[in-house]
Amino acid sequence: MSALIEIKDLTYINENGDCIFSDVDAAFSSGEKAAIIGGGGSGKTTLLKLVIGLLKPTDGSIYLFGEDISKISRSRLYSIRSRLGFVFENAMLISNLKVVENITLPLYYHTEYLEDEIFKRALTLLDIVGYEGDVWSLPGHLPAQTKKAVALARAMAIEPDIMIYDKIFEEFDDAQRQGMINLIDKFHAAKKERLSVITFDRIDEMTDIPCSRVLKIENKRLVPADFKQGLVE
Amino acid sequence: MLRYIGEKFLTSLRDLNGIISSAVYSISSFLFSSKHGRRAASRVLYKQVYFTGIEALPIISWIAILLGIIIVTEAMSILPQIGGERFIGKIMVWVVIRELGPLFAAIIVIARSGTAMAAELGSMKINNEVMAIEAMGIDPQVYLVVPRVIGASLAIFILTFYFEVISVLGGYLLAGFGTRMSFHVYASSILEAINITDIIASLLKSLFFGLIIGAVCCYHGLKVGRSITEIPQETTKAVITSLFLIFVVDGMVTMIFFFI
Repeated sequence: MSALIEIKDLTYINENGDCIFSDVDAAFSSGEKAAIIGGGGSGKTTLLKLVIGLLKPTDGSIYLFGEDISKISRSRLYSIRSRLGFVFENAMLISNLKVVENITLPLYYHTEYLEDEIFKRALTLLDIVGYEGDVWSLPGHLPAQTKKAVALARAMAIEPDIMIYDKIFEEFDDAQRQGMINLIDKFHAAKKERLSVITFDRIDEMTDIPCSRVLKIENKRLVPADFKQGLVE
Repeated sequence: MLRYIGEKFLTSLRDLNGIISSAVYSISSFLFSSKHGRRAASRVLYKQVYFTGIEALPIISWIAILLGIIIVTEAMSILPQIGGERFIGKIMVWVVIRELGPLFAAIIVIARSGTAMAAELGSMKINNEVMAIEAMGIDPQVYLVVPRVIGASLAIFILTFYFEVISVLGGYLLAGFGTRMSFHVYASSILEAINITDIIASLLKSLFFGLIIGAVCCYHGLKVGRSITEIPQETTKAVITSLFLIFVVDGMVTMIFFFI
């Protein structure tokens, strides 16, 4: 298995001068489904932003698909990101695009599909994530769970090699949570080489989610968590 | 004090650099970019042309008619006293077509669309939507800025032409009905006065103004950081900077055409 994400000696000091990460080393391989645990404010989202190049490390390197993202051009970085799917904690749907247009946006940029194929795929994905509302409405009024479902459909649209879920299960009730777990499992299994990374606030939030590895953020580092339950080979 | 002035000067230079980069990038990206994403960006461009151009037609029409009436009223109050009625055409060409047409169209667009562009992008930035676009592997410059800059330029180009036609015709409302000047005399006077340089100067100005307004408003919109209070601040800066730059460029183009 090759490492799709590799973090080497990563140090990150934020704009307020606070050290968030110090000498972090980690690697995530293809086919893996890894969980990252860390309490509120521990830096989970910051780590994910660093990994996809939305933030620049103070020191150290991050490799995506074997390329050091600090040493590549902006256009190359965008091209690499087209192999990534990211479901943000707050969904972050584009507010001036209709629900269906939020899904078609990455398809326009990263696929060669024809117009009607793009819309067909978007509608299929919305159906898969269980969206039942008006696909031509703006997403602003949607409940948080529905926004996350749409964001999941958007991330799934381009069949990414790396899928990142940032605290996706918050605000879900048990049934919605189970539905989402099944979706993530199915999507992860659909492509053998796909790497999935899921973040949680607490370890008890992930007891029913099968993961191949669990890491936790501790003392500004990423270390293996003392957690065996639910681990899968 | 000296440090404060220096910092302000450097900030202005950085802003100017950002604005020029946005405008240049927009033109090159529009002309030479790959077809990837063109369909999505085209939708933004059409929306921008519709919002900036089509939806502005009623207010542009009213202002153009009123401006035409005002200029002809002023001109006809003095021209007959010096026997210069035939100069009405020259006045309309110099004042409306070469100067006020492009300027008024640009000012209306700044007030209507420039503020909307800056506020919309600022709010997208605050809500991390711009970051989401980046995370999807889409360059925000290509998806958000280029279609807005090009859309605003096309819209102002068309609006300026429309403004000038309506203003000249609106002027005739008074010239014709108030002073009994026949349409034939009025039209002949204008056709005699106008030449291709006047039209080129006017439309060239409108293209520059569109690029300036689009680039300045997008630049300030995306400059919003984390606080929602920055949105009105950057919107105000976008308006002031756009107004300043269009007057500077207007003066420069006028001078260039004066010496040609």
